[in-house]
Amino acid sequence: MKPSRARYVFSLQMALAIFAFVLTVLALYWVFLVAPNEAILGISQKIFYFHVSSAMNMMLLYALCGLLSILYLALPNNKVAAMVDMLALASAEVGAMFGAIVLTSGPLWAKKAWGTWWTWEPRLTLSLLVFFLFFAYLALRLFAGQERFGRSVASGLAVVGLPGLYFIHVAVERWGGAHPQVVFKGGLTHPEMRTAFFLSVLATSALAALLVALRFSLARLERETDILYLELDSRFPSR
Amino acid sequence: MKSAVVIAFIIAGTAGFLVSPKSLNAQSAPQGRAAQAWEDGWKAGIEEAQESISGEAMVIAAYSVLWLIVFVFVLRLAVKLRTARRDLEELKRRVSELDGKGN
Repeated sequence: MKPSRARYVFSLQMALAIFAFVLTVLALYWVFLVAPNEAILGISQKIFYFHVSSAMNMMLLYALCGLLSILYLALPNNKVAAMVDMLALASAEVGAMFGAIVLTSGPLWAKKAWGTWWTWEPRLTLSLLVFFLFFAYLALRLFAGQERFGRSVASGLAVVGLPGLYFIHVAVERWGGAHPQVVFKGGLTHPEMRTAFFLSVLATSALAALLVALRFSLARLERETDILYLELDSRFPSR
Repeated sequence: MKSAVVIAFIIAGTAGFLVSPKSLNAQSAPQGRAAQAWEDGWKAGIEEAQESISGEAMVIAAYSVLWLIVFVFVLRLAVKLRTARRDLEELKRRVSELDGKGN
């Protein structure tokens, strides 16, 4: 990467980092100091704001990874395909991070709300399965290196995960379960609660964008290093 | 060809799901209070749970875990970025050194 371009990318990442930080502070302020406690669940409902926004980002990033994987499989082996693949990898990794947040903050809320850490209800079970699927994608990518075959197999796995995301989205509506449908079914009527929720969504989304950008930069650096190693080996075999 | 198979798989899976009867509800019911919550809706069992568990503790635990996960991820990313930049610089230096020798 040219130095001027690298500086530009760094400035963008810094701006995004500041934006994410300000939004996070604002969201936390609204969640804990402005939004009232929920009448039945009490203070434990505050977990909801970052739990749900993390879940939304997890779904979005996994979907992005799946769609980019389709594109990667369709493209010939060129620089664009490599870029698409690196973005898919970055999305999957950040998505897995949000998945870990969802699967740990969820049981903490469930214990208080439902009296149990875990139930095998459809949305929970599907979320866990999709999380494992993308974990498998990341594990495969770890061993694939720069090889097209390994990357294609991993991409196929990400594509298989796509219908799972749709099933998670409609799980409560179609199969029931203990998950509430709070946001779009008449829940969160208090305006401060709504503001807190939307600020949380914005904050986690900004964080997700920043982390994907950073992970993408790392993938580019790693690719550049690998290419340079190969060049070094071919030009100076006896070095 | 490969991508066509994958896209066909997605379309077939989604179509199959959409036409499936809602009687697929035959899931294994959870036990105890969770079963009650399952049957009566998400509000069931809340009052009983509220009496035994501190909400504050759960909120603190949830947000601690959340920020811990983010912190570990960012730290790991920062270390890997620094290492990758250093490796790349070292490699570029090596290539230019060998180029110099070659000339």
